[in-house]
Order: sequence, then structure tokens, then C-alpha cells
Amino acid sequence: MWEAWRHAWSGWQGFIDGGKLAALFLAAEGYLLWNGRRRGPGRRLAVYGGIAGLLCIVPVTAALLMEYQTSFYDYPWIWSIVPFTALIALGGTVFLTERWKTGTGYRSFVYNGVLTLLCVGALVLCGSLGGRPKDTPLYVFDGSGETIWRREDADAVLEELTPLYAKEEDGGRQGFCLWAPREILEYARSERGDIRLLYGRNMWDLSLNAYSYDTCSQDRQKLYDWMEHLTDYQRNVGEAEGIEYVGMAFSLGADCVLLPGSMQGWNPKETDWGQYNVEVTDLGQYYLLRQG
Amino acid sequence: MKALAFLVCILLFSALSGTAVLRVSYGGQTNKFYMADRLITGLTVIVGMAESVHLGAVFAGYSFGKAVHFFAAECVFLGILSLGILLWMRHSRGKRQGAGQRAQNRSVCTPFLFGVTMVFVLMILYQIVTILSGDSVYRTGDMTAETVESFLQSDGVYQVNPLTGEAYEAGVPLRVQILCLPTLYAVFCRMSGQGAVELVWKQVPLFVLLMSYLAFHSLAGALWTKEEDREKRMLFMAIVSVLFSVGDYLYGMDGFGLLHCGCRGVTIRGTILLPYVFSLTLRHRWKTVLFCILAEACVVWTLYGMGSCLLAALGMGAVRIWQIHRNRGLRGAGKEV
Repeated sequence: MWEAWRHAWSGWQGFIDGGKLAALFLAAEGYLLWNGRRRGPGRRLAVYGGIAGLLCIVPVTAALLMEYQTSFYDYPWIWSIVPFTALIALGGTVFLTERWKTGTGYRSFVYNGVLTLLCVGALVLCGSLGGRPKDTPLYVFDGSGETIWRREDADAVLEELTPLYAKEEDGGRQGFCLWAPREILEYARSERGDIRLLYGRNMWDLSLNAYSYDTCSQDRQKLYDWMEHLTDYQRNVGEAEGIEYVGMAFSLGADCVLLPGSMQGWNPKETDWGQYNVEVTDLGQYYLLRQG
Repeated sequence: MKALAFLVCILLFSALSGTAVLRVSYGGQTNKFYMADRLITGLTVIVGMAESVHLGAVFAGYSFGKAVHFFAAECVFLGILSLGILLWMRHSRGKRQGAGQRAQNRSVCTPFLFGVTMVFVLMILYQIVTILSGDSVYRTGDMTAETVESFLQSDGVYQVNPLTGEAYEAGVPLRVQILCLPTLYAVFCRMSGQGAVELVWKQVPLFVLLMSYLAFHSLAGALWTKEEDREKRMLFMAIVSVLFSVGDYLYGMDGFGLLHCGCRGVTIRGTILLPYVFSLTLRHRWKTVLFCILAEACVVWTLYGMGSCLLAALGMGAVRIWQIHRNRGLRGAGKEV
């Protein structure tokens, strides 16, 4: 239970860390509740929001709410019971309409304008100012330096593979099984449902493991670790290990393998593949390896 | 163009079924509802339909193609039923406000109202551009696009692991199996002929954004009921639109959900269902709250149906009862209420 309380408290600290809209929410709540004369639906929403907000902040009740919403969802989602956006907007509207001066004179115009700008400024300063969080960008080493990898880049590589496998069937199933670096696999399944993978996005995004009881075998974990360190600084890839890992991928069911063209120490095109009978094609940024 | 036509069809069906549900639930009081009420109630009907075909496909094991046919059949059946209900109950619409009076009220556009409307429109444009850019999608912890694509490719619901395309070894948790959104999106993909990525990352978030503004508009209508409070309602909507844009800094915020993960069930709950529940409870329209509670149970994993909508409705109900008792007490003490 103590762990649950601590989790709830750290959740609240994280909630107020990135931006300050939580402070604006508390200010709006305070303003709406301060004036006890106000009645009607707005008052009712403010009273409810105040109680619900308090329940989300106090660690004991927050932990209970987290149990109520099931442990599948994290702390920020208990705030869904609080009309957060609505109350800040309600507070802002009530504040401005009550403080604005009536009249058409120059003074009231300037006063109202300054007051409005101050409120908009508070909103923007408490928000993200456009610095929104995204998924951590993927960087790819292309021989000369690191560049940000985009969905379109992965799509272009996958498009190159399509003609090679368009008419092939594997045991009655269309498509092919691919083993490639993370930047390709990241988008492969959402772009092309007919491509199968040796391991999925859950290998690096562990939260996705909540969607399935399946686990990943040690061999597949080894393949992932090896693939993701091929372009490390000053790493020399040996031919023997290359053959071993590519052979392991084929034995696990891969139909085609993509290896980064920028890896050092080993050129798959100049390798004697022996029993594996591998056909290597240079795609520019990648080597495409297929079993003949 | 095809996507737009499909969106119009969805909106028309939502409006039709939503109006029928409201007419059955509230009889002659439907003139007190907004178009937002009809569309959001219609959305909950669509979610219910999707849940029925989804559960059928998961537990009865029929193919995804059949699920699409069942969904289409449900649409036709419910469309005809809604039309029949509306024709049958056409005399119980209630008295409407005079069109001339409404037009007169709306024709007054003050400089203030114009300015606030401009802010509102600019914010919406910014949000639309952000969503359509496709670069703002937050994929961590989400595999909706993969799941939809796997349904379309395998012609089955949860037949293969969406992340690898291989058959499941150990299976899918029940909480994932009962949520219907991937099936709903896949059905829309099949019906409109679009790809999963295009629909899930761009069109659905746009639709959710639209519905969210409708829900907040309905809430504004519940907070300020008088016609002369139009400026307050517009100011409220403008502040909401600014909050959506600047409040996208944290996973879990309304703005973040709308701009970066609009396809998720938690976003639909947080930005459509819950504001709508608050609007309904403020207007004492308790029957429709039930639809929101059920819709939440279909799109978000809840404690056996006991989700945020139920908690919010209970909370609002408790505050209402407390206020009534307090007012009675004050009246009894001879104070002005």
C-alpha cells in the first residue's frame, strides 16, 4: 500500500513538472469557489471539480482512484474525472467577464485589452509554448553522421522490398518475414500488414507487452541486441559472427534480412555464405540478404 | 474525397440515431437539446454497434469480413428504425423557439465576439494542421494502427499478434479483447477503402477533435443557458481551444490526447464522453449518461463498467443533492438563497 501511495505522490509531482496548467486549475478553482454568492451550474461544477481535484492530489485517495481505474492505466488518467480543461476555461470566462469594465471609452478599452492579454499570457506561459513532447526520435548512422529517421524513410525502404516478394507465398501465407534494424521494424507492421517480423515493437517499447501474454525467446532477444549495436562507434563486425546471426535469423523463419550499409569491418557481399546460399543486394543504405 | 463523403455519412447516421434515442428517452423535450447532443449520442450508438460485432468476432470466431457485413446490416436496421421512431413520434417534438427570434439573436456580432471567434478559428486551424501533418503522433504504448492493419490483412479479429504478424502463442488478455475501437476503425477502413495509418493517425483524431468541441459546446450551453450569454459561451470555447493547443505538454492532458493520440479510447473518454457527462448532469439529463457509461466501457478498460463517467455522474449527483439540502436549510433559517 505504501508503494501505491508513493506512486500516487510521484505521479502528482510529475503532473506539475512539465507545465503549470495544474497551478492555473487551482487558481481557477480558488476564484470560482471564493465568491460564495455565485450560484447555478458553474458553482456546482466548481464544487465537484474541487473535491475531485483534491481526491487526485492526496496520495491516499489518489492510490484508491488508481485501483478503481484498474492498474492498467497510469496516474495521469485518474485526472480524467476532474473537468480540468472545462474548469480553467470556466474560471477564465467568469474572471474576464466580471472584471471587464463596461463602457466605450478609451480607458475601458485599454484596461480590458491589457487584462485580456495578461490572461492569454498566463495561459500560454503555463502551457507548453509549442514544445510538445513527441516520441523520442530515431537516429540512424549513415556513414557520415547521425540523421533523424522518419516514417517516410522506412516506407521507402519497404517499398523497395515489395516487388521482390509480391508474388511469393510462404506456406499458403502471403507476404514475407523480415528481420531488420529498429528504424525499419518500427513502422513495418503499421504500414504493411503482410510483412511478418521476428520480433515486434514491444522489444524496445516495453509498455506494449501489456497487450499480449506472448513472450520473446532468448534467440530473438540476442538477434535484437546484435542488430542494434552493428553501427556503434568503432565497432568492427566480424564475418563469422555475421554469418552466425544471419543464419540464426533464417533458421527462425526470416525470409529476408536488412543489414545497415554503414557497419564497419564486414561486407556481406564479399562473404562466402556456404550452406546458407544467401543472395546479397546493395540497396544503398542497407544490404538486403535473401536465401536463394 | 471518399474519406469526406464517408465522414458525412457517419455524421448523418449519428445525427439520425442520436435524435431517435433522445426522442425515445425524453419525448417532447428534445427541443432543449443541441445538435451536439444528437451527434454525441449517435456516436455512443455507433460504439455500441461496433462492440456487438467485435464481441461476436472475438468469441463466436467469425471472420472480419462477416463482422463488416454485420456492422453494415446493423447500420441499415438502426437507420430504418430511427427514421420510423422519428416519424411515429413527430408530434412530440415540443415547441421550438421562433426562427425569427433566433435569427435576430444570432445576427448581432459585436467586435468582441468577432475577436474571440477569430482566436477560436485560428486555434482550430492550428490543431487541424498539427494532426494532418502526421508527425505529431505519439506511438509509445499504442499499437492501434498495427492492430487495425492486422485485422484487415488476416481477415480475423485478434487472429495474429499485431506486432509481429505471427499467430499468438499465449493469447491476448481479456481487457484487450473486449475493447472495440480497433474493430470499429478496421470496419471504417474496409468500408471507406482507406489504409489503417491514414485513418487511425489522421482522420479519426480529426473526428475526435470535432466531437470534442461539440461536447464542450454542449457544456458551455449548460453553464450559460440564456441567449444573451452567447459571448460568454464563445469566450469559454475560445479558452478551451487555446488550452487544447498549449496544454499538450503532458501525457494524460486533454490537449495532448487530441493532438497526439486522438485514436485512443482514453482520449475519446476524456475529451468527448466526460465533458458531455458534465453537460448532461448539469442539465439533469440523467438517462443519456447511461449511454456514455456504456460507451466508455466499450472503449476503455474499466472496473467492470465502473469507469470515470459513472464516477463523474455520481459525484455531480452528490453535489446536486448537497446543494438542494443546503438551500432547504438556508430557506428554513430564513436566509436568502
